[in-house]
Amino acid sequence: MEPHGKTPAEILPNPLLEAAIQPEMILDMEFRGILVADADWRIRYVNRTVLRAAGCSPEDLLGEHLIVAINKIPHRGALEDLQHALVRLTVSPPERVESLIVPVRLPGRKFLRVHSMPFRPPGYASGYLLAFTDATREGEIDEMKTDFISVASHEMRTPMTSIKGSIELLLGGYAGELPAESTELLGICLTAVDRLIRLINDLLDISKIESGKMELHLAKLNISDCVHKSMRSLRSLAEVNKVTIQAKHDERLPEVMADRDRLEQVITNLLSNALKYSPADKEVLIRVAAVDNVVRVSVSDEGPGIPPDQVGRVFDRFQQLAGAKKGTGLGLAIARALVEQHRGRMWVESELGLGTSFYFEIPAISGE
Amino acid sequence: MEIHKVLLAEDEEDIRKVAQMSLQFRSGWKVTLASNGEECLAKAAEDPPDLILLDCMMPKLDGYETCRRLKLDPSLQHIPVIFLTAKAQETEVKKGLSLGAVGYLIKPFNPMSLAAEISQILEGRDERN
Repeated sequence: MEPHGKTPAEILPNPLLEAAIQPEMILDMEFRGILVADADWRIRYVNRTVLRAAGCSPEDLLGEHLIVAINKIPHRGALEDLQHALVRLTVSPPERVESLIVPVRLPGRKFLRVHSMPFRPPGYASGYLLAFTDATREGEIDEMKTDFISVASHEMRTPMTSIKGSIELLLGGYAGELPAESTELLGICLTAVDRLIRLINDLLDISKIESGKMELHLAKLNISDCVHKSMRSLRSLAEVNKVTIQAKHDERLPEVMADRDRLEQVITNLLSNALKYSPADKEVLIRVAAVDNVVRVSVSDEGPGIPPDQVGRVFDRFQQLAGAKKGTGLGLAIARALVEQHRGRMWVESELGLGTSFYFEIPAISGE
Repeated sequence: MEIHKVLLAEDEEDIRKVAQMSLQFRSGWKVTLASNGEECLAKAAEDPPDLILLDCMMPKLDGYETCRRLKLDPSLQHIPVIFLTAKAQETEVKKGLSLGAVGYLIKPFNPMSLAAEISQILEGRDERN
């Protein structure tokens, strides 16, 4: 019982309660921008928060394709990252609720969180719901975390380098011939140090990607060359795991504009994952094909596959799935981010018990 | 070219030590150490080496500026310079080569092959000259 002997329902008359939960009122609440688009990404609804932030009238936006509508926003320079994020959404639409934080330059707001989700109500047309919330504090903390990771990783890398060098000198005979036990123990140290160095490098990559400081050195190249180089670098892993890598390339592949080292990093990551999960005496297949205006690479293994409820999480940071093999938990997050920086996309298809295929596409240079 | 004396400038003491041990062990070169660019210039002037290894990021005077000053000094400009750099600075160091260095090595280096890699860079330079 409440102090005045009334329950909340009695204090608030029911008609008022009903009015308060009118969808329009909730949608217009200050803190949240709402946008509804149809299946073709044409805007069907925006609330007042979106209109205020965009400085547009409903007529400017309704019925327009999301990307066209953004170009009508008077101060879209402040929303450049948001624009890129929305373009990416329309290129690879969300299949479930997804959310990301993007930097913006709005009065008093430095970051927005964009939630996106598809809806398919039975009997109605399908579409997408986007919600924008202020995430300034969250974004600032995230920035601080990224800076911390970057500084800490740099600081850790130097001593790691000395440890690794010292072990290699000892194993190389600097202090004379070592007893077999010492050699074995130093071998364990070296493997562990190598793993730590990989983790530190991955952390540095992630922090660069998240802070937008990852620079790509783009040049015209043929993805097949990167595939061959990655295959060479993984030859010994393939031999140890008794797995063969089979490569298939379309005969006339268009070139792409890409950063050779980074593209090799992506391919090496996918191939080494496939090698790790492939059963012995099986094949890992890498295909490079020209599809419409993109070059598509797929890496398929005949491993155990990924459970359907976990497929959506494979690209998340530090996401090591049940039964995952040793790794940093960052490789796929980095690989996908690198592909997206090349204006491409990456996705996965997996069937439990049959195997997994990772795909990525990068725009081909037109006119080839 | 014959190498007898190497001057290594690197601000991290442990890395300096490992590199020194590695070069002396694998090649028999005499390795003198400097912990920053200023010290490197002073030691080079005092006893000119046959080769200078320069870390790019150092306090007081970084590797690039040290290289630039070495190349302006008539008594030192003939000494080949090789940069030592982290992978992340690879693009930057490529630009740094225009300052007159003969090449660069990526850290972390393998101490068992460091001397061989240096010899390879120097041989490539000798062939070009």
